[in-house]
Amino acid sequence: MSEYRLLSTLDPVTLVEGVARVVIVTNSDGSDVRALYQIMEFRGFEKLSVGRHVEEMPRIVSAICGFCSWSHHLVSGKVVDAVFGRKPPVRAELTRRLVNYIQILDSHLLHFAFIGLPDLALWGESQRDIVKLLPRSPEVASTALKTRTVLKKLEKKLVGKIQHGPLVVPGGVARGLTRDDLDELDKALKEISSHVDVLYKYFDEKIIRSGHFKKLLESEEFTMRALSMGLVRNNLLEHYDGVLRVIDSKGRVLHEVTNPAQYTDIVGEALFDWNYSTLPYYKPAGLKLFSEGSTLVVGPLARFNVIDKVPGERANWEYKRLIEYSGGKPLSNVLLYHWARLVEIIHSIEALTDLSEDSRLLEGDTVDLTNSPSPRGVGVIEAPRGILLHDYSVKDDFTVTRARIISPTTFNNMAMNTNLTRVSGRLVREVKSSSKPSPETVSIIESIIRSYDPCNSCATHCMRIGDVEITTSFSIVVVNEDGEVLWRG
Amino acid sequence: MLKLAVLPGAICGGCDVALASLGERLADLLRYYEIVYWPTVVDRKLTDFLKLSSIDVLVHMGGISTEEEAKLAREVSSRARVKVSLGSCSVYGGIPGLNSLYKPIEVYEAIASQVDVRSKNSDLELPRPIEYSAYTDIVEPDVLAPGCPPGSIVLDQLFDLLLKYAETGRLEPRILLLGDPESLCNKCPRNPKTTKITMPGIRRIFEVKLDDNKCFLEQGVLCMGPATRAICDHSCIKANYPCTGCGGPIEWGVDSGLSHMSSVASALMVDREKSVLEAGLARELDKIRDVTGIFYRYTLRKSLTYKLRKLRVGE
Repeated sequence: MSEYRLLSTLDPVTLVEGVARVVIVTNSDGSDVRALYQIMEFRGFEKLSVGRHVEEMPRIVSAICGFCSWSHHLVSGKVVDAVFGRKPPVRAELTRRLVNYIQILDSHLLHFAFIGLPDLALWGESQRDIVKLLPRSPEVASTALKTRTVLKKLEKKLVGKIQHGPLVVPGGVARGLTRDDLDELDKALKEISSHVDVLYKYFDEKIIRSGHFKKLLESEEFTMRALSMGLVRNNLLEHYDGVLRVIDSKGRVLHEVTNPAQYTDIVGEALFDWNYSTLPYYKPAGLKLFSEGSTLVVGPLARFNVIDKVPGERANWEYKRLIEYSGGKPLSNVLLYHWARLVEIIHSIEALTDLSEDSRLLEGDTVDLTNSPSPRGVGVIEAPRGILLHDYSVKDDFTVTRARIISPTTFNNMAMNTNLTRVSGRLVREVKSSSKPSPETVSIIESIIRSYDPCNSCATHCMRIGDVEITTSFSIVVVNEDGEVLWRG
Repeated sequence: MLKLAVLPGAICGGCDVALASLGERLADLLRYYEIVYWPTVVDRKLTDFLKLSSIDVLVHMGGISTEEEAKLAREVSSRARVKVSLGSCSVYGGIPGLNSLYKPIEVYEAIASQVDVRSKNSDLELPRPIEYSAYTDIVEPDVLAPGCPPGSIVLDQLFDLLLKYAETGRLEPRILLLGDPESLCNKCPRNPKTTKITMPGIRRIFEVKLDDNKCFLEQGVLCMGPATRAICDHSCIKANYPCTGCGGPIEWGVDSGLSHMSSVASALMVDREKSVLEAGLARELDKIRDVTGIFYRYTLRKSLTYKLRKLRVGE
C-alpha cells in the first residue's frame, strides 16, 4: 500500500445520533480505498467516572447516551450489584427487565419513525426525513409522532424522568411498580400497538413488497458477513440477562460465555494514534482492519443471527418471515436492520404485555441489602443497538478506580468502516470521472450508516475521534491494514 | 416562516430526544418555523445551512469539546437573533464537565491504558484537544434552558416562548433562565411539615432502603433539592430517588456545590450538635468520599473550585 489521499468527506452525517462524518481516503490510482467513520465529540466518561461513589454510577453513566440512557443505567446497575455482591429480588429484576423492554421499544420506534422509515420511504430523494414525510404521508408520519407522546407519558408514569432517570439502586430498584402503573402500561401498549400496526402496514406495503427493496437486499454494497455477538437464553431472543454467544458468518457457534467478565477472551480493543476511537475486534482472530473475520457485529441483526426463535407468537412469525424473505440466516444485509427493529418492536410489545399481567411485579422486596463485596464488577446487556459492556473496579470505600465501557456503536465501528470501504470504490470512480460523487452513492453511504443506527454519543464516551487535519480537503493520510499510518502530507 | 436551527456540540442526545418528545407539538412549531438545521432529525447538510446569512432561533445543545464545535457555535450564534442554550451541558458544562479538572492527555490515558493493542507507529499528530467548556462560556445566550435533559417545566416554557416569539417577534430583553425561580425543595411533595429539616447522619444509597414518603435528607440521604432550581415536576423524587441537581443553581451565577454543601451543613444532626460535637459531624461528613461528584455533578465547569484551579496553575 502506498499513499492515501483524502478524497471526500460527508460532514456531518445527518440523521444519526451525535455528530459524525465519513472520511474516505484513497491511494493515487484509486485501486485501494478506505473509509473511516468518525465521531466528532469528546467527553471522556472513563476518566470522569474515577473517584465517583460506585452506587451513583448508574445515574452518571446514563448521561453517556440520551437515546439509550436506560441501557447504560441498567447495565451499570448490574455492575454495582456485582460489586456489592447482591442479587436483586424477583420484583426488582422484573422491574428492570420491564424498563429495558421500554428502552428497546422507545429507541427502536424513535429510530424507525425519525430515521429508518423516511430513509427507505423517500429513497432516491435528497432530503429523507420526517419533515419531508409529513406532508407526503401525513397519517404515517403523524402516527410516528404520536408514538412519542404515548411513550413519553408512559415513561413519565413508570420511571418519572424520561432520560437519565432513576430506577436502579444497589441490589434492586428505588421503587416497586403499582397496579396503577401496570394499568397505565396496559393502556399505553394497546395504543402503541395500534400505531405500530399502521407503521407496519405502511412498511409492508411500501417497502417490503417493493421490488426496489428486494433489489437493494441483493446488493453486495449493503452486505456485511462478519461475526455476530448477542445474548441468548435457551436459544431465545434475550435482551436483559443471558449467555453471551458468538457465531461466525456461516452460523457456527464459536463462544458461549456465562460470566460476563470473560468478555476479554473474545473482545480485543485497539487504539491507533491516527484515531482517538477504540476499535474492538474479535480477539482470537487478531486485529485486521477492514477484515470481516476480525469484525464483531452487534445489534438487532446479530441478535437474530445468534438465536433460534423469538418468544411471542406474532414476533416469532415476523422473525421467520424476515429470515425467509432474505434467504436465510445468518442475516448479512444491513438494510434489514430497519425491519429487524420493527420485529423487535413487536416482540417488546408482546413481552411487555406479558409483564403487565405478572403479579410478581407488585409483590415482595424491591432491594437486597446484603453485602458480599468484590473489587470488580462486569455487566453486559443488550442495548437497542447491541451488546453494551461496563466494567468497573472499586476501592474499599466503594469509589471507582477504573471504568471500562464498550458501547454497541464502538463494537460496530469496525463493521461500519468495512462496509463503507466496500462502497467507497464506487465513489472514487465517480469522483474520477465527474469530479463529484452521484447523489445515489452518497445516499447509499448514508443509508449504510443509518442502518447501523450508530449512536455517536455512546461511542464518544471515550474520546474525540478523528484527526482535525483531515477535515481540510488537502490532507493526506496513509494507513495500512494494521492501522498504521505510513505517510501523511 | 421563521428559521429555526438546532446545533449540537458534544452531546448525549438526551436533549434531542427531549425536543423530539414534544411529539405532536413539534407539528405546531412547524406552522411557524422552518427547521433549517437539526442533524439528528432533519436531513439537511451543514454546508447548505452555513449559506444562510441569518436565522431567527438557534437552539444549542451539548458542551464544547473541540475547536470545530467552538468555531461552529460562535459562527452560527453570530447569525442568530435568539440564542437558546438547551440542557445542562450547554448551560453549565454538565456531567462531562467533571473532567474539567484534568488535562486532556489524562482523559486520553484513562482509555488508552486499557486497550489490548496500542499503535504508536505513525508520526501523525493528534489535534490539540481544547479545554471542555459550556456553550455559555463562549457565547452569551438569550435563553438558558437547564436540565439533564430539561424537565417538563422548562420544555413547556420553551415551547410557549418559541410560539410567542413567532407570533409577536418579541423576547424578554435579558438573559432568561427558564424554570421556576425557587428551589425544587419548595414545592416538594415530601417537604417535612416541620420548619427545619434534620439529617440524622449521612447514609450512602447502598446503606439504606429508601423510604418512599419521607424527605430524603431526613433519611440521611443527600438530596440536592434545597439548592436546585425548580425545572421539573419532581420527577426523580416521585420515582423515589433524591434530586441529583441537574437543574443547576436557583439563580444564574451562583456556585451550586457551595449552596448544596451549605444546605447539608445546616441540616446535619442539628438536633444533636451539642452532643456529637465537631468530631462527630466530621465523622459523618467523611462518609462523603466524592464531594465533586455529589455536589458539582453538573456544574463543576462553572464552579469556584474550577476557577481557583485555573488561577493556581496560572492558565
